[in-house]
Amino acid sequence: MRPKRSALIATHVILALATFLFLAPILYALIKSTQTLGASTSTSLAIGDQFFSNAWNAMDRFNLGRMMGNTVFVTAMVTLGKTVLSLGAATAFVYFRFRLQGLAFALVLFTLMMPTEALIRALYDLVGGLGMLNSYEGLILPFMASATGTFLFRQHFLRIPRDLVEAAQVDGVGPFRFLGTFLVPLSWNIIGASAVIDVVYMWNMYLWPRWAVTDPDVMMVQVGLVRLLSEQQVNHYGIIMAGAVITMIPPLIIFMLLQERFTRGFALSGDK
Amino acid sequence: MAQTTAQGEATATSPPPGSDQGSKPPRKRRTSAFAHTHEATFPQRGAAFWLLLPTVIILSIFLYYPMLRTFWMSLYNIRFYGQQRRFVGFDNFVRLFTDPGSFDAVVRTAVISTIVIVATISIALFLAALLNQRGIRGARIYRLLLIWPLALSTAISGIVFLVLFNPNFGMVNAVLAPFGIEPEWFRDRTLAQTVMILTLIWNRVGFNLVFYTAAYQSLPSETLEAALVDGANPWQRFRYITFHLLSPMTLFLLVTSTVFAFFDAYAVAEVFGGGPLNATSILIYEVTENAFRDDRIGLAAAQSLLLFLAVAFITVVQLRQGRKRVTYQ
Repeated sequence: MRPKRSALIATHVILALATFLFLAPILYALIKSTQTLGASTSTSLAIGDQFFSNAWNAMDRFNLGRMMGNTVFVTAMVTLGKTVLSLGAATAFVYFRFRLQGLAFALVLFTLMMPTEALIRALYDLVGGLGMLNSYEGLILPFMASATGTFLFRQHFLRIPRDLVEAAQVDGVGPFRFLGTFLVPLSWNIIGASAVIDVVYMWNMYLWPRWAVTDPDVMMVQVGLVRLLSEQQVNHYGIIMAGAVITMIPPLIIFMLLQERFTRGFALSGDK
Repeated sequence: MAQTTAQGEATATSPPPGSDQGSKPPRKRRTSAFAHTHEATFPQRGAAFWLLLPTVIILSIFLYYPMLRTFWMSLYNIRFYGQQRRFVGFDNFVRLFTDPGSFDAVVRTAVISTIVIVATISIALFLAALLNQRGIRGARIYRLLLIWPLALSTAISGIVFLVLFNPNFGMVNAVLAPFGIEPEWFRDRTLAQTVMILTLIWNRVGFNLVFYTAAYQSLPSETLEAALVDGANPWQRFRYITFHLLSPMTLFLLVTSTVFAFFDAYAVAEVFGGGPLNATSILIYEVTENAFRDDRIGLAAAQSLLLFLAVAFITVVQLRQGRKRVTYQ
């Protein structure tokens, strides 16, 4: 049954209003990013022609280009690492029986409630002791394992018919090849879903990279942009906003590429 | 018996990630989770060891060790950046609640987080409910636009809002000026907290919306159609059926939103400089100030553990509710 016409109109009005409110700050940032120094520190909402100059300034003069590269690299490595490691761990939990399996599972389960941020000082001392402050390793390694990913894949594997393992074993396929040639191709939707979560997580990360890295060559872009602002290296808001706009691009691409997979990844349910 | 299994499976099929009510539904199943020996497995146990090893190593080194270390630090008064330390037992925890400055931070964090958590979840649920009615044209486009703020990291959202609410050239005051209102957003404690809360809500609603949308797509259409036949009106259908069916997702989002409000909010606090007069200095910001600037590592550790305990408590509640929730299946 479709909703009544009046209800439909009301729905559209509310949705349009909400969409406007959610988009307004982004549109504002987009407009500001095109303005000259003078216009950017006025209430003007005129679209200027300075976007490329502002963006170039942000990327080149203030090193945000390099920092964007760092962020993309670190995000990609963590996402890849988390995916591979959790696929492996999930396989171990579902397709094997070994001693202390319950304990190992609980050990992974418990980390769901251990946010790295709460351990900041201890982690800082540890990573410092390992000589990994101001390095990519220091930004990547602590985040390589994922309880979330492990559970997601375990869940998915439990739904795959067991005949598949038996058939594989009859054909003499070992566990690693089974993972590579059977499980992975059957898991793309879940891999996509968990990749979206990982990318959002890494893109949002601020606390750890802010303290773990002071070298601008390794710094992540969110941290670099806040620094530009707080150390008042720039009072040209056009440049700051251009920097902000550029950082939106990679996650937007990921969302568009993976949105369908993401939704399907969670919608693969038994009642369909 | 067959029915029970089917139900268990259905429950297990639409888990929010990381929540684990899907991965271990009823208690009984959990204890036997590794006991279905009748199911085909690989006999090569060495392989399992290698598959699991990297995860165990990373978690032990980068989570369990710092966790224990934080517990240890919270029991000491550590001065001169580790050069001097004195065992003080639970004094740091006592200070959290007795020292006026520290206790204010606890209250502040509780208030700000509660508003952010409740608002992000209810706004996302409301929008998801609107978007998932039948016959809404352009639902996909609305959704894509609504989740756009998710592409901005929390820190950058803070920067955009700082400019948006700038009293001299910000858009908000430009709109309000004709009405004769021109608030100094960052000079007043309550106003600064309001901007912080708005920033966090704006940044996070999209995340919750994505998950609610995914949950909506796995709702059993038969149940909803049965309610329709029974003559339930849209509000009743939502209140008594959809809301219950979505409750595992809501509980999962409760945990992730709490983590967001406790920890990711740090970025906004830093952009706002924690001020004015500590108004936006939430606990995690105090943690870094104490741990890195003010040489109070023990107190910082106790503050961290308070946040950790709150997250752990909510997670446990989620897991327990997840087990005994209503499913209508």
